[in-house]
Amino acid sequence: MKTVTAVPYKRAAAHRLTAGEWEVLSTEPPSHLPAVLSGFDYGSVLRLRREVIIDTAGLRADCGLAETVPLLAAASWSSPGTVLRRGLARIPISDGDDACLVELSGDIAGSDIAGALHIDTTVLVAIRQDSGTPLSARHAGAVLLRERQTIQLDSSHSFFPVEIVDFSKGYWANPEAAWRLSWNVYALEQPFLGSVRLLINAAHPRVVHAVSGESPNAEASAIRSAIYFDTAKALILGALANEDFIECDGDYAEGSCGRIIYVMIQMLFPGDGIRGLAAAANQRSDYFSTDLQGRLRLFWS
Amino acid sequence: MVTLFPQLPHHIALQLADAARAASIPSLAGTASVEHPACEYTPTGGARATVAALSRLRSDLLRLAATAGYPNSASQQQAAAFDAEASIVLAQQMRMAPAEAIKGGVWEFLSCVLLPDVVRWRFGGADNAATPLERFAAGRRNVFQRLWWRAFHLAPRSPGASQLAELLRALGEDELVQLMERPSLAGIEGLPGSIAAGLLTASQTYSDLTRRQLIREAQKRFLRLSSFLSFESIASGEIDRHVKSVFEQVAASLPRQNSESALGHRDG
Repeated sequence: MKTVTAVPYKRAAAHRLTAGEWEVLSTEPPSHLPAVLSGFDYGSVLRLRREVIIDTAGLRADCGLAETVPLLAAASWSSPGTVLRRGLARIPISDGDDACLVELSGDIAGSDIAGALHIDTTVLVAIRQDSGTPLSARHAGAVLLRERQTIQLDSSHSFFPVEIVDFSKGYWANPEAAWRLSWNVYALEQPFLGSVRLLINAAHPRVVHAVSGESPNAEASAIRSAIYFDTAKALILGALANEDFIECDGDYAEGSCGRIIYVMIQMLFPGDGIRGLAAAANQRSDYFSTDLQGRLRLFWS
Repeated sequence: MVTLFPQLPHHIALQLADAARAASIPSLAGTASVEHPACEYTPTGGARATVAALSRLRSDLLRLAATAGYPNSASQQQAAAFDAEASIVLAQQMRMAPAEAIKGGVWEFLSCVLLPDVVRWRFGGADNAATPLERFAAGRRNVFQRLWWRAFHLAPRSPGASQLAELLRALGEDELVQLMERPSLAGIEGLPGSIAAGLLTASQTYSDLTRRQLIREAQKRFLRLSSFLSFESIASGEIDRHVKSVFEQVAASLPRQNSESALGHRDG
């Protein structure tokens, strides 16, 4: 099921909010919030502050809200990796002023976030309204204006890892196999980067060479193409065989396994529905597999 | 300091799970261990869970399982009681960061190495059928992962909110699944606990409707509302008002078998 994208009330124009940069106060000296945050771990705390100017009169006019409707300036965060959503700061907007300056500040624990961090600055209706003009927001928490900043969290696990391991020394796989994709079809809500890994058999020199070289020869290109095809096929067929994936129809957090596989399927099969593709993969597996070869351009590069 | 738990690589977990899913409970109890040579830890600050802590976790969960019939199969009621109490034990003894709890290896260590016999017992199925792989593998159906996250999301976050144990013991499996099924709703601070408490109140007010009907319809409405409401930014009292209002709307919208008794409830 998809969530709605049109709201059932009037919202304010974006220029009603003038926001300064988010400042990171937990670094010495304080700095602007970067697009990629590195060196952040479970024990870290991100202390943030920003000032915003809100054109309250204009915002109320845009939204059809009377001066008596209490409003909040708020900051909140969400992290697709942990799927947590929390408030960061909440300041009542004073009545009577045409414009107001608000300082928003708060802490985000490193232990609560993973993958990426969205920080939203919003203006909201503070308390439920039992009356109002047509199409004016009435629910407490109704977002009248939103500005979002997204930060990527850099960590040692934030990439699609390729590990070279000796399959004969451990539990990896058949000792003569060339590669193995390790992923969990039951955890599609997990971040893709970090939860999917490709294991290459260290005892298979041709394959190790193929994935290690920067300028691949024809043989290495063919091996890479085969790995690419096999990996994509495993992800697509695995997801299409999972009833949860079909039910969710792409309703996964950004960056999650479910979302990335869904987007990959949409790119490969533009216009086709997930349920139809799942039926095709199940009922005509030979045809579907051959179709995938063509769409993934096996051995063409 | 956060506690770091051992993480079992997924490909190894699959092999262990595949062997365990049809094995006997006594044989799995014999192979259960507090360590596995392939385990990894998150390379970050924190204290690694000690052997003593892992042993205590196993023995406490095993004690709860025994109360619920282990190694003999559990009735639905016993299984529900185990789940509620095990959620509390997991929340108390696995005080880890949410960023650590999203790592599948933590749960696969628990289900495939530390407590495989409990997984096999809890989801053994009729006639000793094989346990579904998804109960061992990490994911929303993993035996322990689902219980830990329930406790985490339902834990009270404001004074006066319903207590965790009270909610876990009162809610049924289907209701808890409904509450947790949409991570985008479950992850909003204070909302799942408020919905859970609201459901219990609504089920008394509208006793002609089942809890299953109430929660299923309410969750659809919360999902719609969450696309334009910032629940996390409003006071807990306002969240509770939303919850009450949604259950009122749900009760008004659902057909009754006995419409007269429904009207009586609404009027009275």
